[in-house]
Amino acid sequence: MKIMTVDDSAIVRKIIRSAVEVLDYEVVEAKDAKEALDILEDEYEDIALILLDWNMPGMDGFEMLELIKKDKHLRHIPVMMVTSETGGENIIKAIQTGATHYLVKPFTIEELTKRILECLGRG
Amino acid sequence: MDMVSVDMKKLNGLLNRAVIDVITTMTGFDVEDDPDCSQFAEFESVETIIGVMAVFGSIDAVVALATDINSSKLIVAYMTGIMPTDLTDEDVHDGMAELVNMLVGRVKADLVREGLDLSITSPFSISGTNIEMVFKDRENRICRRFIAGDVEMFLSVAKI
Amino acid sequence: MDIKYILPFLDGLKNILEQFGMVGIERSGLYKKDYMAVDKDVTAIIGIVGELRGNVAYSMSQDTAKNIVSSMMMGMPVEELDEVARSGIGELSNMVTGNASILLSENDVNVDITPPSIVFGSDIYFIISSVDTITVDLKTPAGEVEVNIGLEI
Repeated sequence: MKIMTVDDSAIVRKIIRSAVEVLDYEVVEAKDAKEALDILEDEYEDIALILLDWNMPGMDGFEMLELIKKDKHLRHIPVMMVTSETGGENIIKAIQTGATHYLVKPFTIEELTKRILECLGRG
Repeated sequence: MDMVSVDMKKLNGLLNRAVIDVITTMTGFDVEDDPDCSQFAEFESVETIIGVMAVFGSIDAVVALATDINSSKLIVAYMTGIMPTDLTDEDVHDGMAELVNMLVGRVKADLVREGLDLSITSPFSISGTNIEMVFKDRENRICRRFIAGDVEMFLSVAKI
Repeated sequence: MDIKYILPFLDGLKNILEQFGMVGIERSGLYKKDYMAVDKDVTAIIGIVGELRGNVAYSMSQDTAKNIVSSMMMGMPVEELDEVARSGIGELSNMVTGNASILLSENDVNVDITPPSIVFGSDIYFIISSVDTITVDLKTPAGEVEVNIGLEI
């Protein structure tokens, strides 16, 4: 199974990659929502978790979360928002829309790993 | 309604705390700060990398986090878990830009919560030797030094 | 990227350089990059917030910068980029930014443009990643100016 990271920062994708690979999952990277949705169309059956940034060029992470949770093929995939948006109402909005978890940047690798495992039901 | 405002001193104080929090969290380094920024001048002769971002609105300022190339490689290596020798130039540039993005983003969130109107520009990074940045307002510039073992960083905040 | 976002930054520079007698500015190249990367010694960067978010960078060689400052000072020779010359480039960037800002608002694009930061140095490598960038090379009588427009749209 694969874990998808959607983030416009290449370095954040690399950080997530190094954490995820240790857990023996394959990583799929997308630099924006559009690229992520294109990949999901073909590979949604293999994606175990989506780690989603909020502020990205084009469609933002919250809009993408809404799309995922409305789509009958995608809505079962857990989504963790990984973002520097710390506003309390944003966290509530994301969780109400169906996000499984919300991780605020900056995060430690340990924290990221722990949250990923929780999302996958292995916590 | 209460007037909410922010001056350079407050912005700088929040940023200093954010530098320590963000770098400690992302790299695990034990970061200490030092108000003496005089060593910054020595930086001019070595290859330097600077992550830069501007805030705009209730206060207009440019935030720059500078370090030498070797330190930046170490920082990004600890952030990503990639060996310093395996890092590309682009990784290092991205890493420095992302650090500034995280620390300015965090300060912006705090200030917006207090009721200030602030936008942030996209981060960028510059590397080179003898780098000098010139701003419209020459006087209003605050610098602080951060040390983590052999790694030395300078945060400079300039009003624009 | 819509041309209406790009033209004001080019026309802004053209208008200001023309005021200093540098006429006959031509576009010699226009290309798209995956990220913004510049390797010239003098770069003025402005930030954009509002309806658009991003950065615009004007880059040139030291010689071009000296020629421009010389034109701004009625042809006085400029031997080196000293403090006076550097502040000249700063002033020029402010003027270009101001002009671009007016042109954008005339096109109903509502943005705030930050005053420029100008970077001087040698072997400079300047990079903004993960943002689509349009690069335009402008041929001016003072030398080539590379304009990089990186917007999150």
